[in-house]
Amino acid sequence: MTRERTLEVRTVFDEHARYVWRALRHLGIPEADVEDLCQEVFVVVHRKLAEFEGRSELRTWLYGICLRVAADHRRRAHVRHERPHPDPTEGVAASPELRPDARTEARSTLQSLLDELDDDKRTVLVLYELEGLTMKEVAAAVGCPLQTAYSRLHAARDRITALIEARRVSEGAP
Amino acid sequence: MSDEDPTRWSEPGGGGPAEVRALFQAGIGDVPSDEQLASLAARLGPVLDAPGATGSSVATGTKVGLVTLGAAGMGVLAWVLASPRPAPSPAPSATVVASRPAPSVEPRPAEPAVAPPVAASPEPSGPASSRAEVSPGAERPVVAPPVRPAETEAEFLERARGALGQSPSAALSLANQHRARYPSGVLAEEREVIAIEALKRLGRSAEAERRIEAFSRRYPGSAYRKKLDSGAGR
Repeated sequence: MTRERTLEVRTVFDEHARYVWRALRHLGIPEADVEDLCQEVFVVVHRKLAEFEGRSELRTWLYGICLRVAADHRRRAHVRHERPHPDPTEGVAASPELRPDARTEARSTLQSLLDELDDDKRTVLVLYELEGLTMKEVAAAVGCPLQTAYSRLHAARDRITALIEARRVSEGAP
Repeated sequence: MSDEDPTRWSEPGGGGPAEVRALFQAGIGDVPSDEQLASLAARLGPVLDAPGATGSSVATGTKVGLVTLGAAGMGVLAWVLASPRPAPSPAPSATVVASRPAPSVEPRPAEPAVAPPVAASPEPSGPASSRAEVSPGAERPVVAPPVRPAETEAEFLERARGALGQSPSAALSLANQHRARYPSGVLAEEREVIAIEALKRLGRSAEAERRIEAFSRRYPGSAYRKKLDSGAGR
C-alpha cells in the first residue's frame, strides 16, 4: 500500500499563505499589490495541485510559483514604467536592536537594499536568507544548478555588504 | 540546511555586516496580519474549498481525492466542471434573468483575455439586466440570484458554474460578463472552460470548438487543455 497524503488547496493556503505573502514582498512586490499576487499564486495552485506529485518539497514548488508570478508582475510593471527607486541605504545604520516601532522602517530599508540586487541574486538571497530554504531547494525552485545558486548568493551578499559600507562611509561611521 | 550551506546572516555567527542581522530578522517577521489573510481567503472564496482540487504529496502514489471527470480524469477541473447543482423545480418564468453588471473592484492591470472568435454571448443588451432566450425544453428556466455588490471574482464564476446544470444559457451569459466585470481577473481560464461547457450543453458545438481553439492558443500550457481536447474528441 502506498503512503499518500491528500493535499487540498485549503490546506496549502492555511499552512503556507503567510509565507507566500512574505516571499512576494521580499521579491519586490509592492505592498499594494501583494494581496492580488497572492491570489494569483493560489489560483495557480488550484489549477496545478492535481499535477503536483511530490517530486519536490511542497514549499519549493510553491516558491517556484511565486517566482513566476512575481516575474510576470515585474514585467508588467516595467511596461508601465512603475519601478520605484528609493535610496537603498537610507536608515541602514540604525541600531541592530530594533524597537518594535522601528520594524516598519527596518523592513522598508531591507526592501530598498533588496531592490538594488538584480532579480537572480535577489531571488536566491530571499529564498535562502529570509525564507529558510536549503540551497538545494533554492536551486530547485529557481531552476538553476546548485553551484550557480551558491554563486548568486555570494554575489548578493557582497552587494549588500558594499551598500552598507557605502552608507557607513557617507555617514562618517567607523 | 545541508552541511555545505553557509550559516545564514540572520543566525548567530552568520557573519555579514552587523546591521544586516537585525534587518533580516525584521524581514523574517514581516508576515501578513490575520485580517489580511482573511481578506485574501475571502477573495479566493470557492477556489479554496473546491471539491477535488487536490493532489498527492507522494511521487509514486496514485492521485487520491480527485473528482475525475470523464476519461481524461482531470481532477483540477473539479471546481469548474463538477456536477452542477441540481436544478430546482421548474420555475414559471420563461426567461432567464442574468446578473446585472457591477463595477469591477479588481485593482490589477487588464489580463489579455481570450477573445471569443465569434459573438458567443447569447444575451441581448439591456439597460438593467441581460436576458437570454431559452429554447423550450432545452433547459429549465431559472432566475439568477441577485448580484451582491462585493461578490468576488471566484464567487461570480462559482455562480456561473452552478448555473450550468440548470441553465447553460445563463451560465454562458455570466461567463461572458466576467471579462467586463473583472477585466483584470485571474480566473480567465476558468471562465473560458465554463463558457465552453455551456456552449456544448446548448448544442452550439461549432462555437464551442472555436472557443477551445482560442483557449489553446492563449493558454498552451493550461491544465484544462487535456480535458477540453478530450471533450472535443481530439
